[in-house]
Amino acid sequence: MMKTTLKYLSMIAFLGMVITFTACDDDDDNDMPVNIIYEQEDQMARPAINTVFVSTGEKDIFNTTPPAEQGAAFATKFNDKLLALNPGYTTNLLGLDAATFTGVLATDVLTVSLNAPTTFYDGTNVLTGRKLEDDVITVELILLFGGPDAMSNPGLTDDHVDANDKSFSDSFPYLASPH
Amino acid sequence: MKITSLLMIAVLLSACSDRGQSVTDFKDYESYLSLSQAVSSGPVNEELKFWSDRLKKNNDDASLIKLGALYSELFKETGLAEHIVLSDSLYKEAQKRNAEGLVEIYQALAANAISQHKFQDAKEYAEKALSLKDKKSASLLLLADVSLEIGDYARANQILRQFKNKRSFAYLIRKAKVKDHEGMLDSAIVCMEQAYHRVRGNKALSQWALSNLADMYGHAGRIEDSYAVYLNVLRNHPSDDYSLKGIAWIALSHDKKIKDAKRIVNTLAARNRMPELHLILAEIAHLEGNTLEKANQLKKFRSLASVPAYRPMYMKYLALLEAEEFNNASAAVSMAVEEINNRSTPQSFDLLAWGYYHQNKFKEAFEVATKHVENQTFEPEAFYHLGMIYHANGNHEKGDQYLKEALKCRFELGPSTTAKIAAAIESL
Amino acid sequence: MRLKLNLKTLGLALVAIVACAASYLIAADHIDSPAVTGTGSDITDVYAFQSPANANNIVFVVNVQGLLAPTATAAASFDEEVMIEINIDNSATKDNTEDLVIQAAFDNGKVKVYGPEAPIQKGVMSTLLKSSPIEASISAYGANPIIGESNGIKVFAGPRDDPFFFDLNQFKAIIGGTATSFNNPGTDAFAGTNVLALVIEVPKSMLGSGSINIWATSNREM
Repeated sequence: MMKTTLKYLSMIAFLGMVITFTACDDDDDNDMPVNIIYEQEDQMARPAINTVFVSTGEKDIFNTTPPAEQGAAFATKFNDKLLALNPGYTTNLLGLDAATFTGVLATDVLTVSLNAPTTFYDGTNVLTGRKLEDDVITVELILLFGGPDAMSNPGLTDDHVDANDKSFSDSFPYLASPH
Repeated sequence: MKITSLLMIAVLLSACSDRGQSVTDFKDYESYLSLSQAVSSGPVNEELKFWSDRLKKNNDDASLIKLGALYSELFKETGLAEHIVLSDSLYKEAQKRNAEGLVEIYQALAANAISQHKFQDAKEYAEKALSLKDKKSASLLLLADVSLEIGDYARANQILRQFKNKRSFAYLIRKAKVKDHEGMLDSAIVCMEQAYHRVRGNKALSQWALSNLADMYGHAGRIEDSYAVYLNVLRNHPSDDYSLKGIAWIALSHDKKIKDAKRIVNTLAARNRMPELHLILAEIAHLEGNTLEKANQLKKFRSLASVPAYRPMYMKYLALLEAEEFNNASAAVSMAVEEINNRSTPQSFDLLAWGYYHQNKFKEAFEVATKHVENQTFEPEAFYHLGMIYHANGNHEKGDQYLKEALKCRFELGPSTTAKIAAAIESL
Repeated sequence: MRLKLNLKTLGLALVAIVACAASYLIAADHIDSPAVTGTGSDITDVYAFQSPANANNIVFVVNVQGLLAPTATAAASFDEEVMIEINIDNSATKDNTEDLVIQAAFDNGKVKVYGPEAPIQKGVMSTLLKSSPIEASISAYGANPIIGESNGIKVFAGPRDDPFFFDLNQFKAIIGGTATSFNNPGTDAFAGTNVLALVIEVPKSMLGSGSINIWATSNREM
């Protein structure tokens, strides 16, 4: 056992050693960078927007387009998608016509109020944050399919999953312990 | 650059030389031999139950995809072909339910096809995934993997050159493969060590990197480091049969502890269907002078590896056996041709040349070997074959040089091939 | 190739130098590369809400690696090549460009949280902030949450129940044309599964006033 431990230690020492004359990659210099740089791979704000509105073949692009540029690049496509999902769309509960609604959605940011209740929708406040218990999908379904009075397409405006399977905590980190 | 090359040569020269001392100690790894298959696949089996139950309840794509991934993982643990076949069918069922096809599923099918050595299928799936545009960098990595397998090094290199994250694990492990192929083992080791450092916090990936490093240290002549790393992997993952197999090889080929090697390999053969274990048992029987047992083990290998699900994975081994052990060089040649169609690598052409050599078609062997093998792979097996082919064609100087080069890798070649080469140098 | 040319010029040998590699007996094929998918940069959900424990704070939640079965959770780990960034636009005009960022990097079992601070670089490339981070060990599955705390900021990283709920399968069936309405009751596709969660609680005073626009990104180290 002792012998094994010693071998293990020598291995770790080796793995930590800096190789001075052999490089992995002649295309790239391997010095430690002064700045640690990252390239974006995924991006998200409002729930399920990418899943519902972004077509196959454009998800990588959507995920790497800064929000300030997303509207210009995706608003028309979102509009087409909305009308494909719900050909009878006129306006929704927020009074937004298709172009205005998808124009908002295509810029995928989440507004968070610092001085009012934070909620996706609580009957009064709209899109002022997203709480763990917010039934965000039902809200989105109502806005997509419910028409101006939320009464259209009753079979499509509620997935009838209204709450999480575990209750949340009032203290940090708030999310329920894992299953 | 010149100094670097000289140093590299010095390292390579010392790398392949033998070191006398015994490295393995049975007590170090004894406990890993008592595991049952049920224990080793425990976590995967529990997860399988979770997603099978969910599939029954929800009949959803997500469960199908999860189950596909788990059976693919289970295949790597058990070596049972039925697991990878089931994985494929689960993925395909999920794919049927998606009109456009999910890029993740094409990627998973490509990876499965690589595992099964169905490289043309793998290429098709990877190209299909790439054409869907999403998750593009993963699709490109898969294409790089396939390209390396089928010998399209230009394409693999082109993909890697354009890959932006040159410090990422995904890049470094592939760069290691390229360097290894180019015969730059020391660079390959540096790449793999850097890759390991990138994923130290990830148990599965760091173990993967370490077991590959252990192989490479062995090839660099650093047998003690290799052994220590295999043990380290086992400490974190006691059911890692790949590492036990690596230790068995050190015990057999380096330490000449035939009894210890046999105990490991017999244990592995009882709990894992890797057919190649029977090749090692045949080698052991040969060293013990047990001709009957050797023949038995070779037949066992042939019958296990010849079933359709395994055959592409073991084509190379099957062809070598036909030529060297079963006196059926024409079968070896036709298998080599199949292998070239699947992957036109220097190693596949080496099989063809070796088949011709055993048919006494020395001129054909020479043509294939000089055109497609020589200077395109630096592996000891190819050097052994090149040496014999040069001798057979009357160039004894080059023949000897190749054989002597091959002999530097006696650890990799194993005792009986080493003896064959030594005898050839004496007699030719 | 270059190796061989050098050898020739040096007059050392007629043939190239062998590079030892596994023979067929020990299986020459290296183990296949690990899966390229599910690398840990997929964000499953983003939450931002006023702290239930302190009305002066905002809580940000970014979840990755969804659909972890309970038995798969202990082995799941954050991708150490991936930095999660919370981008904050606190400008009066709401130009949706980040004025502040909070960055979370994962290293050797720890989460290190930087900011909120003005970014060194805006847009799809990010540079890790240079200020000293708040650290916390990544909480293990089944253990009590480990909380890092400094300057009124709290951080947590580790496995949690996936807070998202949605009958995703029925939604897909509707979109795919094989169903025309939701079921009542629906089936939560995320029930019983876990995620890797990053939770950061920050005093509102560090973020701005009125309202902010936020979005989360995952970013791979170059």
